[in-house]
Amino acid sequence: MGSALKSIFFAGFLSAFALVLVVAGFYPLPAHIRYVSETIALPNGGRQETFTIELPSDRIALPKFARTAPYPRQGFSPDGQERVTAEMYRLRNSTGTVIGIASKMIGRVPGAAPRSAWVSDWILLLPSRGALLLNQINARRTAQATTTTPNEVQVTAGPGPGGAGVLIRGTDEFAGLIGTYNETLRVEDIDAGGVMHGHIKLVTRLEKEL
Amino acid sequence: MKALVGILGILIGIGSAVALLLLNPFYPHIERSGNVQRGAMVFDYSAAEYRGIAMTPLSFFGISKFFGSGDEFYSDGIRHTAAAVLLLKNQDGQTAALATKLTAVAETSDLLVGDLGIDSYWNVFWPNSGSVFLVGRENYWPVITDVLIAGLRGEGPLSTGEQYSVTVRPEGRRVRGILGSSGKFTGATGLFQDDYISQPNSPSGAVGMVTMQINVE
Repeated sequence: MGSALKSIFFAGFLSAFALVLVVAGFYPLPAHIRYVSETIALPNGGRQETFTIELPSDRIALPKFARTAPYPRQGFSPDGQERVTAEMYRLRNSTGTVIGIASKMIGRVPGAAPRSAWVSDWILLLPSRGALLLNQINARRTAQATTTTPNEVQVTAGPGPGGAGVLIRGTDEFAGLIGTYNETLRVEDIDAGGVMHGHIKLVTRLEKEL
Repeated sequence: MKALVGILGILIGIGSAVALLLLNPFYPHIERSGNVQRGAMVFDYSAAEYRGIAMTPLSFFGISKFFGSGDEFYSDGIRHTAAAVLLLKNQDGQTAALATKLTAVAETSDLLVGDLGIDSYWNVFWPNSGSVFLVGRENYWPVITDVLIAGLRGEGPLSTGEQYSVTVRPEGRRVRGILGSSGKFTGATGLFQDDYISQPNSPSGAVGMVTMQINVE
């Protein structure tokens, strides 16, 4: 191979090699859309942010089977006595824009109250901001929300001050915050198929840990 | 002749660069997330529900929407996320706990250092006992490169049972590991490790094994 051909070969080789690495370095990997935080400043220096879940449209069900999930979504009962339910939702900000996904697990645990109590764990995942990990004791009268419609019940009954739920931990943008929250269930209607129409509202009050 | 030699150089250059990326000798800081020790709880899991991105090259490279992936979320704000309900089985094969797992593509991913990251958030609930949260970072680079290499060789998807330790130690991330939430796990801390096991016929394309070491105070 003549020197001119060698030069052409290596020029092609090096330019292509470099181009692939440059493309790999600048390739636009998936990024999350960042929405403006719809927060309200609180007198104590904290911030209040409200998240909503529209029912039943925000319930995440397996689309392959084209079915609407009953409420609650999934039961777990290894011996018929113990039950844990898991639900997954799309999460909206106070203006109704979908900004994240959420999961809620409900189960009975010992020691959360004078005797065993039903508690809920929430994960609120806002992809561009981080996640909020929340825990609450459930109010006993929650089931009443479905007996008469429209109806609104405060689901949260502790363990935080004033009967609020607590932030276990926040990540990323929410790291280093402490705070409380309240869950409210608004039932507008239950249709003939037993599907609940309404919304869940989660009002968080967060501040920096001193 | 000159044109042919030039094209040959370009093709070999592209092939060499792609090979360098896939077989990265400076391969990343993948290490197991923590020193999960003997006595840890080990659960096999499978998804009872799964919705969102699949752990495939199309999703990680952000082009799955062009191929009609039916399980992805259509809202812009959650396009690169996934949600699953998991049944956790103990080593006797008995269902022991129920879990949810929410994931979002990590924005720190970088092809040059072999990082295709996922931020993962678990909530594991044991009936009549308590619950914990798990916060972790997973790197699917080994999975994706094996899929791509198999594709370049003209082979099919990963064979059933291929296992990868995907949980990694995220640099600069303050919150990770196990965080106790309720019941007997209130205030608990700990470490966990998630293993991805290829199972092409499952809803998420895989099943898994999670190892948890929970320290109850």
